[in-house]
Amino acid sequence: MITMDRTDQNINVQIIIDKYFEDNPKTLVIKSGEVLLDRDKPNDKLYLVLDGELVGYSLDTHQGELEMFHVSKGMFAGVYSFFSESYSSSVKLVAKTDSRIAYITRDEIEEYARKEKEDYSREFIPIIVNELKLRHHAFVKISAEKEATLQQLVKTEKLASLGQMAASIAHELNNTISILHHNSQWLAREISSHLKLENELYTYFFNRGLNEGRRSSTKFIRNKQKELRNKFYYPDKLLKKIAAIYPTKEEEQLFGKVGEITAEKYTYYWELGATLHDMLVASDHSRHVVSSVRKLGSPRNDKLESIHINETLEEALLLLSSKLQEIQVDTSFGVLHSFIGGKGELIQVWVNIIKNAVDSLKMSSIKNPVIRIQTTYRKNIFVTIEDNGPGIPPELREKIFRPNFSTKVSGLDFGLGLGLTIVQRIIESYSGHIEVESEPGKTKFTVVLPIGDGDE
Amino acid sequence: MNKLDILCVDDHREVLAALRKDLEKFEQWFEIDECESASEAYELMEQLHSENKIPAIIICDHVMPGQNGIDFLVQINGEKRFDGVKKVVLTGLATHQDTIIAINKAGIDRYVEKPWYSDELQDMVKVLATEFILEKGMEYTDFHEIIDKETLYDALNKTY
Repeated sequence: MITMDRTDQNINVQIIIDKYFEDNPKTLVIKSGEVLLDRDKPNDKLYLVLDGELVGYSLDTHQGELEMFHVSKGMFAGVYSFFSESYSSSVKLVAKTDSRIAYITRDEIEEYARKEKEDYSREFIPIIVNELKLRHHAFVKISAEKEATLQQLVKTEKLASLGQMAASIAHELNNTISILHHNSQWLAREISSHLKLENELYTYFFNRGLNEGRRSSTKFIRNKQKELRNKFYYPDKLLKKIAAIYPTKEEEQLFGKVGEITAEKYTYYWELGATLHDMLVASDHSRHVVSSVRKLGSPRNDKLESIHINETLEEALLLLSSKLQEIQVDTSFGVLHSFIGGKGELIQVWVNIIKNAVDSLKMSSIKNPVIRIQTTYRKNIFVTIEDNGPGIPPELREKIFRPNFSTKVSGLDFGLGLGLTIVQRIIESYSGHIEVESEPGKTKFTVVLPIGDGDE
Repeated sequence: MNKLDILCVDDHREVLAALRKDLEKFEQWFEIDECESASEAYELMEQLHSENKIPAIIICDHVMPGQNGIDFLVQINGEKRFDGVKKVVLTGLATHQDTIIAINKAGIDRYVEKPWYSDELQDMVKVLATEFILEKGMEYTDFHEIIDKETLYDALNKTY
């Protein structure tokens, strides 16, 4: 008896198999690659696959042969030509593997039906419908796959052209930013040495503005201005300028002693310095933004070499030293295996993570801001960067690695939302991974970098 | 002569310093106040109001931590005691939708994109100050050096 494991079909199918294929099964064996049916060739047989697999191809005007469906054990073939009464195949059916196939001819079925006085076509309806369903499914699947491929292609192309555009913008901006940066630095040096010839205190206030920037908040300035009104008989406008420099006690006394004209000069030179400070910070920030954009758009341009992770961390801290002034940084560097990688890329990874920690600490104005950096070596290199900031809200934790995600949207500190996306991309390029744990008072990024097989 | 008040609001001190430098040439006529957040600015406006003063012009950043600039100006726009204050949004993030809200709901007088140009900003301040002076019925001859002639003639033509 022929039995088929048909879970997807109606029980009627088994009845048909029993009835028409049981008594006198004619079988044939077809080798892999051989053609069972061909397009527009006559066919008056209904086939039942006993073993193996066949593939039906239809002719597509654009792409040549298009795979339409698979026929495997327990499935019928030749259904269309048999029941549509065209007796001509619509597809080309090729054996994918060596197959064993049973068949009956039209004459045999008609003969059988005559004997039993039955309308055979009614019995075959489930088979026909099932066949239609299978072909329809196959078609939907093919269309869906095609659509998905197309979308992926469009996405890739978009990213590629975006990357090219970013790279060319970055190139243009790098030139202009260099001019702004170097000239600001040159002006700062020149003014500083020029002032030294005139008066040490002019240089002192200029350098203070240049090195420290604007430390006084607008609120502080208003309060300090009020306080100074009771001390000095200077115009209100000058008091505001003195308040703006965040004066120490000694400096306040000095301002009181020197008189209005000189005090005015001191604040003027401080403002010159602070303005150059703003310009240098702004051009630094622009440079950082441009290099982030460019990194995103271009393949690796760092050369791979044997590097020490601890050194790249130290360089990152050095780069960020101006931002880290009011933050306690604890480092605990373990003895690590050397690592094969791009030095610049790894520095960029640490800078991005540490910069996020700094920004979160500064935004929350926490009392004793601390950043802890630890490296350990246990088969892989582990780097943890932890801060005691307010933490990442749970609903944002999933999103932080996505492009375009940023909590920084304004002014000079605005974020492109690319930082952690780049970080993740770089780490993954070394087969490493990054994790984040966060609760109020403790946010910890852990970067795991595997060292190559040859080194273990 | 009572000086006019200009209130600048931006969460970046560098931007406030740059704005101040542009406005310093009007020092003779304007008092310049600076704030780093909407809440600080609101506090200052309440204090000014208690001294019977309101700012002539608010120049306000758009995206700031806490209340954003547009919401702040919508709030100011809804308070009778701050009627007539000229409102300017200074933004690095100009999107169409925000502009519509700003103009419709906050009664914004001007929308300035960063980076701005000093002379354009100064011209704008002159025009807005002139409008404020005329609307409040102040003695404009005190301010004749910064009065925008075109705005003045337009106003006079309307009256007669």
